[in-house]
Amino acid sequence: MMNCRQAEQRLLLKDSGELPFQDRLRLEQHLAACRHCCVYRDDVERVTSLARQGLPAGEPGGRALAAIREAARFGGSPKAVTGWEWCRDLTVAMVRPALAVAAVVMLCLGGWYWLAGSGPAPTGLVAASKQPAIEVASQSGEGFDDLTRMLVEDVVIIEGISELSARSDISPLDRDLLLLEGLAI
Amino acid sequence: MEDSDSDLLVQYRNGSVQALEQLVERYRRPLFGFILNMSHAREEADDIFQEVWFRAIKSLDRYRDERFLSWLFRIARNLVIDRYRSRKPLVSLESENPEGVALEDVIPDQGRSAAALAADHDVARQVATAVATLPEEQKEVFLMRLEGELSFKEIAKIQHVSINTALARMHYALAKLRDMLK
Repeated sequence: MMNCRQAEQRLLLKDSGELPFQDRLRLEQHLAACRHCCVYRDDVERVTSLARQGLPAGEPGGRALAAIREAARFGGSPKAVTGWEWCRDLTVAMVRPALAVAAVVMLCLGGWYWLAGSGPAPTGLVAASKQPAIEVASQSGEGFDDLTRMLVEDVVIIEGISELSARSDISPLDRDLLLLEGLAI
Repeated sequence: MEDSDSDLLVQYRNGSVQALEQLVERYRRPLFGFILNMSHAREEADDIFQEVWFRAIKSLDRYRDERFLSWLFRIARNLVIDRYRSRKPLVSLESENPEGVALEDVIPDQGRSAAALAADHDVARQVATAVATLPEEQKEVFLMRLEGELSFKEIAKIQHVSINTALARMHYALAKLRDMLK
């Protein structure tokens, strides 16, 4: 015969759907004869119902749901990107190839200077390249047309930008601004 | 017919984000209800709720034959424990309810009948406040049953205890809450 302690435990299991059929029958028999356990059963139902009414209920906020949706797309790593970060990333992505092209141009020019310098009697631009770049840029001598002078000026500026952006002590923002300047050139 | 949890998980693994959104929608209320009542702060509940899903999404490969909701509750419980481990219990009998009345004072007189109290809407709030004062393990069992309708077998597995221990915790929790009706 089931005692009251066992009956109370089985009432909980019955409520959770975990009580086997035979035990359910025995529980019903016990309840039919035990007023104490009937009161317990009614109280448990009442307390559960009251708790359901009284406990704070709510919905997760829209921001949390949006973050989960985002995470679902990226496999659990939500990526919150601000407008500024998006613009910066885009700009850097555009500037980097431009700088690479500028570097190749500088290498070609350097090679050209070197090859020309090793030949006979330097004249014109080759002769100018033997002088400091700033002096060359400001020079308006013979055989040194405007287009070439502008190109040399740009190379000088890009060289300066490259040196500055390679320094470890400048901030990412300053580096981005330098890259933008490079792109403008 | 509604897709089962496993179907939706397979769909998500095959690239359907909507499948996961359906799962979030399906378990939003029970999971958030549990977290909200374990954390007592709306903003923290939001944080924990989203963290549960982040972790679930990241560790889907480790999810094995277990009811999905039960697995989510396990993650939620661990997160709540991690967050509040270093803190003292948030509510005690000496603490005040939102109306500024000490909880001790709202425990009803023995003279009032259970039926009269049940009719009173305030009792529901008093019971809810009493839930907050339960020891953490008992509160967990009570809320997992109430919010998620988890079985005692599932609760026992989540708490790493025997079914009898989980049942005993529920029994003690109910005994304390029943005192509110007397």
